[in-house]
Amino acid sequence: MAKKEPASVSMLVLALLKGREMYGYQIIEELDKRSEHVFQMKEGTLYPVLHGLEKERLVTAREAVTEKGRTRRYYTITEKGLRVLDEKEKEWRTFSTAVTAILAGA
Amino acid sequence: MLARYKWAERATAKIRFRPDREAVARELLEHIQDLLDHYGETGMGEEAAEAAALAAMGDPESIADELGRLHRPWLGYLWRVSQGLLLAAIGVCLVLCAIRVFSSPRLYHLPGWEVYDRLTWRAEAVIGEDRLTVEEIIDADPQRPDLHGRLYHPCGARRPAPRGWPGAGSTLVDSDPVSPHRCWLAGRGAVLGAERHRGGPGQRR
Repeated sequence: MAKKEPASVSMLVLALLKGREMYGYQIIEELDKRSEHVFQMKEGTLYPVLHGLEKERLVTAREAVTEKGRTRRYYTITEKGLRVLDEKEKEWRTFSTAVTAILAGA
Repeated sequence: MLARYKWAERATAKIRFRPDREAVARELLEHIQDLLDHYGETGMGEEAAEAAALAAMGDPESIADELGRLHRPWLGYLWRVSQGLLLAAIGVCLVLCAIRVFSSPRLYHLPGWEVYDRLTWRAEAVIGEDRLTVEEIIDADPQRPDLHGRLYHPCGARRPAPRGWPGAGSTLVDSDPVSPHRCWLAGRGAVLGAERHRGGPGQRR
């Protein structure tokens, strides 16, 4: 991934989880797909982000065993997570608008 | 050890609480397995697929730093300590019960008494139509069971205690206003619940 602040990665993860619960590998795939291959992070670094969000109670996790016997840890966004995501989205749009305005005048 | 297990071990090395460390390692290994499945589908060989998967996962040391910072062990240790305390409490209860069951010398030595619950020391003596049940043992003396004197039973009806009557020496301390056939006697070593009883289980003649 291009150099981003961790808060931005958290925001992207929360945004992806807004639609449905997902496990780590799914999140990476979805991030890659939706960003049209722009965001490609080292996949192991997703887990500190997910566990940090879980610690802050912005997501919850549950384990489930698949038909193939694989154990998946599914993450779901919480009410608190939705509120934080909303705030982060607003901050991001303000920031993005400001940067766009500056670049337009360059 | 396969490279993926070494990678997971290094990535979780700074999580001090072992159950957390194992759970996170499992989660990371599942992710690596997904990558291996993906590379396998592209026709890549097993070793090459593993190398590619671990490269995609990133530097295990920097991940270990982050995970170690997030997974503070005190809650886990607190949980372990509470489990230990619970087990210790159960153990103490079991020991106390065992002592009570196996080391009680008291009523076993009193002639005429039959103990039917060794845990609570519930015991009864039956003589004729009367049945005495131990309600509470105060200080039984197995060496000198006092079987002399007069029996105030049943329910205040004073009568001489037959020789060897197990409730002999008791005095009436209370009677049951609802069931007048029941009363309580204080005797040497025990408070006895007396019940006028005709027939029924446990009766001896």
